[in-house]
Amino acid sequence: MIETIEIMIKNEANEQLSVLVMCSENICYKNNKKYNVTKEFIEDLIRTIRLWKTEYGNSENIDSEEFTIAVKAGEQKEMFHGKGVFPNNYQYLKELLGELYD
Amino acid sequence: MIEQCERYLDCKNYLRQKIATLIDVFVAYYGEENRQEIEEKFRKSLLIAYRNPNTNSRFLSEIKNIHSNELFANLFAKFPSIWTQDDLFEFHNLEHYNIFPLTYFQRFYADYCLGENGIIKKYKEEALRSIQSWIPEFTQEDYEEMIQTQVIPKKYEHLRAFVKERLLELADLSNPIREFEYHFNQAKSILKKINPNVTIENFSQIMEQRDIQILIKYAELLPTLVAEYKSRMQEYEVYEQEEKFANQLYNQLSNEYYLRFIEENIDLLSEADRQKVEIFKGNLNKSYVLTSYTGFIFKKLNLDSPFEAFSEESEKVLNGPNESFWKKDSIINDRIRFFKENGIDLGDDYDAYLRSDDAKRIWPTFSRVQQFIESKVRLWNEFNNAYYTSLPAYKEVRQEINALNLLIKNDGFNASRYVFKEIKGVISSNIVRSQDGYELFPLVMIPCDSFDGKLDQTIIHELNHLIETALLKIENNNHCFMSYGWDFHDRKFNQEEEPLVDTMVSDAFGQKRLYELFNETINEYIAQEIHQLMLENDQCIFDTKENTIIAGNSYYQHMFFLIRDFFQEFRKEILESRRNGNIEIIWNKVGKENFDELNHLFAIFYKSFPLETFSLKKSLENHEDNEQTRIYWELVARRDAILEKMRNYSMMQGGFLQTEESPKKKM
Repeated sequence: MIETIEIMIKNEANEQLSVLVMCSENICYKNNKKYNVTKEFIEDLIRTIRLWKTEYGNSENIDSEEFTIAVKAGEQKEMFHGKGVFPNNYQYLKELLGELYD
Repeated sequence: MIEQCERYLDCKNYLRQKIATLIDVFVAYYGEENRQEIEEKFRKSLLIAYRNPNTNSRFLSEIKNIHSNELFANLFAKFPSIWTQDDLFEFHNLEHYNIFPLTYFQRFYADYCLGENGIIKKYKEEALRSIQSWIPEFTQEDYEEMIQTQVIPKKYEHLRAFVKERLLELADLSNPIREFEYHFNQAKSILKKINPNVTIENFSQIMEQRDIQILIKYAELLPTLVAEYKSRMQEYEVYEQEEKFANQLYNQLSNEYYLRFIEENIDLLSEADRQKVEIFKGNLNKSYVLTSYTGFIFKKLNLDSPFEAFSEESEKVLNGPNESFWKKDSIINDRIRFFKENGIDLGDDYDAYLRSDDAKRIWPTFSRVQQFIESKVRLWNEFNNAYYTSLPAYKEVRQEINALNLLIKNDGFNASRYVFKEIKGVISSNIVRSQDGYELFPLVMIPCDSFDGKLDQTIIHELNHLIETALLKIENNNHCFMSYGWDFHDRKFNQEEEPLVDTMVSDAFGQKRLYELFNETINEYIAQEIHQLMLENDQCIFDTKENTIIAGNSYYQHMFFLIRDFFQEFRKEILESRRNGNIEIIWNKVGKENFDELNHLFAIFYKSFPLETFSLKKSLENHEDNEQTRIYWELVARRDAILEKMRNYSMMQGGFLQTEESPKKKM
């Protein structure tokens, strides 16, 4: 069972989005602000990243957005990373995180 | 700050108003003798500053806060008291005056002055007015009867249930008292500053105190403050409407494309599900009528569906011996849920489903799932295209571009500009017919969504590309060859616009061209010098002097160490060679072989440090010796050797260095 999912996205303007999802507690911290999240939200999040490669490298362009995700499940910690090169459904992740708002 | 917000809100017009300033800046850098050329480059181009309208609220809320704070400060300056902005208005601006603690006090105090009888009298008058607006024949006597009996008068018994409910509610005279107490409780946070134990009953004891009298004054002046605020915000109404329109369009199109997604995959739904889809089709605001199974299979277009757990890719993860258990669990859970939703509930043991004939009968095939995924991706792409190209601001620019009659219809201004935010500025060269044949006519596209202090540098970087861009030749009346500094590019004319651009995968990072990195690094170096010059002349475009960032804006800066000395020593030839495709100028000065060798160092650097410039920098600062620093110092050594060869070559060209091979020596 996944304990936590930690997401860090740094965009080209050096703005940082930091999200920590505590899966068993159905809570999430987005830029240090606490939100209650539904089980469905967590399932959607896991579904979005479960087919991702661990490393997408980076594009030949610069000033790209960079993402790092750490999934902690038991003793395992799995990382996903990319800079300027993204999984096909990367926008889905951002839309999902955008649903966390006041 | 308001001015800065206004620049962003009206970015398209604002940038164009700054063209004269920008021309002067470039002329100051390149020399007055190049003014005509620079002016022509600007004249024969289109500057497009654009923004996503759903960022309007970001800029508007800054403006609202500034105006509100100014009005609050004026109020406190005129009538000082113990209360602070936080006390009376919390963290809200005047847009949300309805929930200010001061507003609640205002309502409480107005009713307090009326007394209980006055409160009830006012309530009854308002209630009767309200009732008569929907039942004109309802009389005062009817209302009094209803209050007395708490029963609807017989002659109104035919009315619909919800109307009768409302009538009885308005006959409940405890309502205004409850509301009075509610307003007091909301205002208590302010009053506690005078008396921590304040109640409605003992309020009269503090009423005459100076600060309460000022509080009452504030409450009286609040409507004036709100009116002044609304008057100031009037000029920004157009941006509020723009964002409102964009949000409505987004919702409307989202529903339309969601329906299309369902219809393209309707075979996945039962007859009962499909009937609800028909209702949804009749009114796209009624997505709530869809069955839970429909919602289970058809998540939003921009979310993965549990149905996709049956894809071939998911199957590989399930069967992969090294795949994480949480990935497999997630896929299995979706599959089990799919079967349960289809009426096959064998518990949570996945093996049971693998053995079940019922499950096998409805097990989705790889090809069906692939078809589902492709449908979703295609429709999401179509949605992006439809949405962004329907925005009024987009259409306005599109009309301007169309009027230019560009010969390459895929001009680069499309939905992907809005979707791929990692692309900062872009220059897209294009061609128009002229009296003498053909002319270059680039589009310079600058997204203005972020207050990050880097916009001016982005603009100058792209405009320097504009200055350096040249049309070299046209072949067969349909194939153009262009230069951007030392970079070369060719495109064919086409009159057919792409029906849809790919908004799912960025195509901006295509094949690297021979001198691309070298070229961009020099361009950035020049742009930083120009930006610095602009600041020294007290000029800014979108940024302010305080927040503008020249350096540290770009990855190219990490490679400045390769070109700094080269640029300073051969500045004149570098600048000359970069305009109008005259790369031979620098080749002749430093030797093409040496130039190419320097170019090669960029490829090495980039291959070695695509992600790790931060750790390299740290290692260098700490004087460490590791693999990264060794690569770096080797590059430095090679750079220095190449520079020495360039100097020698340059001197030989000038006849200053005599060698065995020198004709002068042989003589």
